[in-house]
Amino acid sequence: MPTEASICKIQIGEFRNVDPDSLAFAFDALKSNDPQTQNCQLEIKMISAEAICQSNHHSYHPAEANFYACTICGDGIGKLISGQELEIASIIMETVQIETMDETRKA
Amino acid sequence: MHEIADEHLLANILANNDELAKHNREHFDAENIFAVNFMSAPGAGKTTLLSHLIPHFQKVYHPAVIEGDMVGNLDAERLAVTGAPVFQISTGRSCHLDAQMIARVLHGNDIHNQNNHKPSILFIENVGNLVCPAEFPLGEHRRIVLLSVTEGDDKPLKYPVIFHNADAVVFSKCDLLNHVDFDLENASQYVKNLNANCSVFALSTKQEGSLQPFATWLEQSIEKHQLSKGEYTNVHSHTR
Repeated sequence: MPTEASICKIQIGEFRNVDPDSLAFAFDALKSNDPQTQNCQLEIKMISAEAICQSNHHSYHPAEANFYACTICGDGIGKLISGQELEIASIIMETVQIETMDETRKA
Repeated sequence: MHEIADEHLLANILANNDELAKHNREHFDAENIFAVNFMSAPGAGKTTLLSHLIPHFQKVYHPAVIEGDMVGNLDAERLAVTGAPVFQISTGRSCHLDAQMIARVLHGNDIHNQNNHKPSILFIENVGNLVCPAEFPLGEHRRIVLLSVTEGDDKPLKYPVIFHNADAVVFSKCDLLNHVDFDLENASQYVKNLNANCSVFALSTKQEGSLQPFATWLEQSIEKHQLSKGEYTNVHSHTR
């Protein structure tokens, strides 16, 4: 049976240079060219960044407001444990039921 | 009727680029090429820095350049004067190099120059842009970001991704420090906040000798790589 993509879920981390509005604009332009995607809705989930500071291994949210430094000790990012995602999380497919003329008459 | 195709799909949207970057890295390592990706805003001094670095490295290494520009080959012509082989990539409307572009150059040219016995260092000059080049790993061994002092010391805060992903940041045109409001200490601190492991250098091609610490860092990076030949990890991977 034919299938159509109905929902596409995307995850974008805070530490990626991806603008959700621009991505949605491009997605809408691309999906309209294919009957299997033309009705697909894009759902974007933004993932907040979480860092571990280099010296003391504190977990914190690196943001411009704190100059990206650890909010507890002031040290810099040793490792990002989230915020670099750029992924298709899932695609929900819809199976299209096509009724034939015979089935319609029987009903 | 609805069904979820794969609720744990988690497919990397830039997987094609990342796979090609890994392929490029294998190519580099097989041919004893150490690849360095130089990124910055337009006009920060990437070409000028390379025109000074290439003669320095020609004593011991075989330097080559991949020059990325949207249009024209002015920078490639400037660097060809050094005698190093220069391979031009004109990206057209694209504002960054990607791994596919590098793969095409690698497959069509003998960058290493099999006739010489020196290890090669490949300088990749990316298109001037502090946004998109951060998203497209090329398979390089080191990522360098230049920030000229005329641009302002707040740029690491405004473009955090590219500075977070850098192995070294070079503050260029430091001969102009007395004429601009650029606080070297602040800028260094912002970079270290974004990446505590990042090395930071301040230099000017007008001041002889100021390039030496950065050149030494590059040489030490090559030596470390030759000893370890570390496994390739994506710049965006959480385990980097």
